[in-house]
Amino acid sequence: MDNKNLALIGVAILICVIICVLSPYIASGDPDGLEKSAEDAGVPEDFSIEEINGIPEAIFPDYAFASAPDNQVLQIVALVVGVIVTLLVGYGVAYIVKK
Amino acid sequence: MHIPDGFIPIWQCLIYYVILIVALYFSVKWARSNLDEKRIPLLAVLAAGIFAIMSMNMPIPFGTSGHMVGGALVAIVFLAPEAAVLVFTVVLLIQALIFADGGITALGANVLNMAIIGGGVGLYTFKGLNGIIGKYPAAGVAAWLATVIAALACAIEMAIAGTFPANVGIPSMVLYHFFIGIIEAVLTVIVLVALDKFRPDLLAWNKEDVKEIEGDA
Repeated sequence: MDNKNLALIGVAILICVIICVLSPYIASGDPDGLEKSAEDAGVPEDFSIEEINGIPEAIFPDYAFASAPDNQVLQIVALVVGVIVTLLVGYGVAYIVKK
Repeated sequence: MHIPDGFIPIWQCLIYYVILIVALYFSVKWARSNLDEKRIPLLAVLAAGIFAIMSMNMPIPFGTSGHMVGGALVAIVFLAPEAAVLVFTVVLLIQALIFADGGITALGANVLNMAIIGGGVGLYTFKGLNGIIGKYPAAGVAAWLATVIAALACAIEMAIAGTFPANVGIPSMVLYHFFIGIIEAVLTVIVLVALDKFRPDLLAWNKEDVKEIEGDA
């Protein structure tokens, strides 16, 4: 890979890490548009239209460690892990489909 | 607008999965002839960037929040909604499996809304307006409209699923995403300006015949 593409990846990782460090502190905890619309329609919070079994437990539910959901430093760790995994999987998928 | 597990009955999820598989077929075909040494890392960093920015919920009116989605951005960067399908399949799968954000069963519906509809509306709105109002205003309007139309589609899916009715869902979803779309528009234009300044070679609009783009208008 040439230097220009390494620089692109480097700058992108830097920007992503800055977002990951800020997010746990400044991101709004208000419901998003879909959650709020469901609320407006009176859909209960634990609503499920039918029982769905066999869904694996997420490692980092809601971008946090399951054991310490409010620990903001660990939320940063979870987000950075997510960025790296996404970058690698994105690269891998693009590479494989190109081949 | 990540639809969680349990909001769509499984038989309807399967229909959205069929749409996803068809979309992936065309996306892989597109990738074979359009990705190269430069665009493989570009696709990967856009995926990572979209993952990160989706954690940054910003407040909008009505006690609601929203984040950038990025479907229009990816489709405009590559001038191909197929690229958005690839990026969002990766991002949404990781979010669903590792972070419980968006359902695994709802993956097909979520890719449909954010990548196929978001990317498609974004790209074709951009192409339609590019020759009239210039590329950055066109990209901004395209990103805004992509967000609103994707939200509208999501509301219709929720009504078909029976989760919440269209008469409440459509006005609510469109109203909130009217504002979330503004965030989408601003960030989409910022990323495009930055790419055009530092890596113009990565933007498909600099490669393709400009007349061809304008000719579509």
